Amino acid sequence: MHKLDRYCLPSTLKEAVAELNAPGRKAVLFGGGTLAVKTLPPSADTAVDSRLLKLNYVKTDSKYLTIGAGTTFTELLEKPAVKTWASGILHQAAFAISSRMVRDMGTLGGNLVRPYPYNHFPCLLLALDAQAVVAFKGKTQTVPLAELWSPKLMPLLGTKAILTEVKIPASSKNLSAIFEKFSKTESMWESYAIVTVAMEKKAGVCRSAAIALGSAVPTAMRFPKAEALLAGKTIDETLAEQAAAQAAAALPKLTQPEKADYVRGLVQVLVRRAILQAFAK
Amino acid sequence: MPKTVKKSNAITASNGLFTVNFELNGVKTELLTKPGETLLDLLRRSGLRGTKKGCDTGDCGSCTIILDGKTALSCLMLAVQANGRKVTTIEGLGSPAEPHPIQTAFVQAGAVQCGFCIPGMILATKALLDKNPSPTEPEIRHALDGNLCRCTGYVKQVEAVQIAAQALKKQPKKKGK
Repeated sequence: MHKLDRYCLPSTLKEAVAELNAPGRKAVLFGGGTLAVKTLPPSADTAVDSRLLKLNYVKTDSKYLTIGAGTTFTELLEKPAVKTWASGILHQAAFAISSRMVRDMGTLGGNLVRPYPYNHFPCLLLALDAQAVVAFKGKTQTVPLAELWSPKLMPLLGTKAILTEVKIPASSKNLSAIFEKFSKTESMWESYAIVTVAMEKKAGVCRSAAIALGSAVPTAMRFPKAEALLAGKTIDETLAEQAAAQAAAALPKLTQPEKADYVRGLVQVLVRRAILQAFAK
Repeated sequence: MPKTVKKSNAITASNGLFTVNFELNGVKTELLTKPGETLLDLLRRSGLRGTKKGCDTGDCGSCTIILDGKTALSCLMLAVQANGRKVTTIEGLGSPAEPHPIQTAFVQAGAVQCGFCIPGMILATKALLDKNPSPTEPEIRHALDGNLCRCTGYVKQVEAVQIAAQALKKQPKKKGK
């Protein structure tokens, strides 16, 4: 039995944060709603709909590609900057979102703040060194993306605080990048692993590389030791295999522990393949 | 009657019910909804049963509607979220006596078997063709990828969308249809 007795459509961020923090109330923020509706806590008494906040935008300047948290996947697909940024992996990841209706409804913000391992963008944006901008109690704060999933911030998102935008450094614009999702079917939301590799190359040498993993692990993660193996080197099969083995060895608790051997092997193969493909681009 | 309170763009439930005002198939409509009720359940409870309840988890697409010009899964929306918006269901497209060209195309192509997925598929087609009147086959398949059909292999539906695209190009545009 739901206790919901107030539905509000704030038109400013200030108003929205105030609604979420109204004394004696328990509010839930609605973005696209694709995940919120079915997981609405019975104790929630206020629905705060974010659709009038105008958080659907994509902007570029000399420092960042900035994407509003309320941008739907369909809107992302329509933006020229997204099509080419980092070898087009943002576009590719939005294109691969489960279905047309979810692409029309679902938002980048929801994909990041709802803690499901199968979401595409946590892993992808982690590899691009994205930052998150969060509004909370009258101020906004920019934090590294991974902090969104910290025990301190995660419980506040969508209940007390609002993710407003994601800032992707301009330095990632021309990276050679690969996004690969391994699932039973292309359109399935659940997958075994999502791998993103983003690499800066110069004169046949990998200057730096980012390797990120989603889905196989409950929270998206990077592999600094594996990345360090690649930096400053010309990548061949052997080096890619070493880095992939390093990544597989560094895997913590898995999303599907009962398939641990399979998943570790799979991650190793996908990481190796993605490193080689990114280097060959 | 429950009272709608419009303070700070908010609706407050009265006697456990929200009043939702929206445009349903081109007609201004006011309906009462319970907290937590989905738009799908409200539509069906109101007699619009063309919108089907399949999985109720956003996976099958049989509850597809058009919301402000874009497809939406009515099973993943609270009914109260429809407040102030434009909703089109299959009943808003055509009638048995005067079917919409997309509906005619689906019959013509033999794209309808059991029919359960078809309202959603037709609305997904409408949203596609409104935006892209000449879609390629991959674009059609991508636009219909959220509408599952257990009867067919999707070949006839793709053909139906192509027929509909041709038919709509020949037709003078009707407002809202």
